[in-house]
Amino acid sequence: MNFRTYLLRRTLHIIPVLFGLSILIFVVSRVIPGDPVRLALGLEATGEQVEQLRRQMGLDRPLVAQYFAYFAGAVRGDFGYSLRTHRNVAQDLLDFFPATLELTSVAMLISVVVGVPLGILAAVRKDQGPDHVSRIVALIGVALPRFWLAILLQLALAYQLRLLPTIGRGPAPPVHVTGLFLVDSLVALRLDAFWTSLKYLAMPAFALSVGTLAQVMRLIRAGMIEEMRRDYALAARSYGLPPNLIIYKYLLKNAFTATLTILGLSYGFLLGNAFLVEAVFAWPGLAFYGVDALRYKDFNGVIAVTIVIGAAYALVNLATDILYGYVDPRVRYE
Amino acid sequence: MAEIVATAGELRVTRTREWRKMWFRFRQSNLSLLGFGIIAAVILAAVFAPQLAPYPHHAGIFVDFDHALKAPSAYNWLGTDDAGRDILSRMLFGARISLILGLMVLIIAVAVGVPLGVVAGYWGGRAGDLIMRVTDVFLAVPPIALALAVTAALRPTLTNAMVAIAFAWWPWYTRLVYGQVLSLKEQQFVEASRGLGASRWRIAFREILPNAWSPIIVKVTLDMGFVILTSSGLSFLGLGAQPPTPEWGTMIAEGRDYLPGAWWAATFPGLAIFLTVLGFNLLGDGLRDVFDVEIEQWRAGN
Repeated sequence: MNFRTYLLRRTLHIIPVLFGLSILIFVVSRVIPGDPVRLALGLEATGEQVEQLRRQMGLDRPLVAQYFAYFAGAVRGDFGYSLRTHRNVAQDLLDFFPATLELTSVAMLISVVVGVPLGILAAVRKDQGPDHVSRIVALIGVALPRFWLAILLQLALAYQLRLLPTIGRGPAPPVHVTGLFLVDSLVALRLDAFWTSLKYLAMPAFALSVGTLAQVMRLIRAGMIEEMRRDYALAARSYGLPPNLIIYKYLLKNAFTATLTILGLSYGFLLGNAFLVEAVFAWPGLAFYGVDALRYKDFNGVIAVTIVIGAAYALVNLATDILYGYVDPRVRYE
Repeated sequence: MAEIVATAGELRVTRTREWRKMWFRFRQSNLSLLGFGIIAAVILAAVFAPQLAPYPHHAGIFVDFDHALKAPSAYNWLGTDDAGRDILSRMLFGARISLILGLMVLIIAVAVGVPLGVVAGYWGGRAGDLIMRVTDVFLAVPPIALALAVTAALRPTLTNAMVAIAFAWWPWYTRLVYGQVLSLKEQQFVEASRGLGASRWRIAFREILPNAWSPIIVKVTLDMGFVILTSSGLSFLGLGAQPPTPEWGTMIAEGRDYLPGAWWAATFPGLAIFLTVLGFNLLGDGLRDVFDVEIEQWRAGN
């Protein structure tokens, strides 16, 4: 199978999954007991007004017809009317999604940039001090409730030491291009704005990254140890190549390839845990919006958030699989 | 013939020996023992909460504003919350809630996921394909996001949080068992019982499934921690257990309003979650070494 066929097949695979997900979430959200429309309009609304909004939203039609109407809208980027913000949900998503994207991406970046060197260190110093420390750090990192860690960080770094801001995302940079504050402030060539955004981002991103960081560290360690035992590593050593060259040029490349697919899956962890971390830091992201939508039974909001998270997750996995298929041609045939 | 057929007595001896061997292997790791110790302590705390708690009546509705938000002291080792309730007492009762919830979720997940995995793996065909495609859909979103969407359709209670988490959790067991069955069904003992004329049901559930239990047990142990983590997260968001239930996540959410002054109200319940999850992880790792199984642990959890 050549690379293009692999790419196409892998891309087509996510369509039925997302389609299934949309049905699943749609059915789940439509069995909501009580009347969300009445809840949204308040007690003063007359029966007639409630009926009118229901008709407007198409809620008087059969469920299957409702689904297809919704689906037809969703593929055109229309996710319906929000009972919470009284705007089109798509508009809300555009406002809230960049914050989550920025948070989860930076958390992923921290996990890799910190996790990989620590994993290498643990592998090189196997069964010595650094390895034991890394094992303990990994155990703690995976078991820590992210929202609790977030609160502890807030207590220590924001309340006690006053190093970092407690909540929020800080002021928006003067230019709005991507909605990612770090990128936008660089586009505007404003290093001060970049620094401010970074300060607001530091604690939430770190709290979110801890589990993934621990996983990356352990996977790189395991991968490196496995590679060190291979014949080619022995050969390279016997040629007298400098150890650093062997480690970074030959071993790490192979060890990292195995970690790659898992990074895609860890992105799911980050998205899931973003719900908790965003709640602690009042981070105005998708999860924050989603929880609010839940409280107000804004079902269009809930469906859209779930589908967007599913789509983001699927796309990241697709990207890592493509990258993996590119680096390691064997997986194309599986 | 007599030499081949072991008597019941001999079988029992070999079985005890098998257990001894496993316990011996388990003991080799200090971390496994630590996990065992932590979980034993959590179970004891849950069972004897009424006897151990200094103020057992503080677990539910109880208000004593004169003693609200008192710092840790000889009377209240871990301080009191905004209603003047002893945090240690509430944490002990919280162990009951977390353990029962974790068990219930995993019982449902195993009861639904395992048979589906066996059917998909052994029967295969169109039904098997359909089952695996459905698990793909469920696994397309992180469990906590799916559980949140389900709680939208239900009222926020502890039971509903349990239902929502179980709803998101069963596909992991279908996946696990599916893989196990696929590799087991090619083995000789399956071939043998097929040759003896055993029915499909018998082969699938009496011959194959018993051989797939050890990874399931290991995964259940590891998942106990992750389910507790997820449920406390839901409760923290106000979508699970509601006050005055002494659920750990709910307690953190309540205590958070009194930061940074009354730091103890939010920090100690979090410590309980952390230690419990750590304990189950260590115990699960230990069991994994004993049973010598490989499962995709990085996928477990939220």
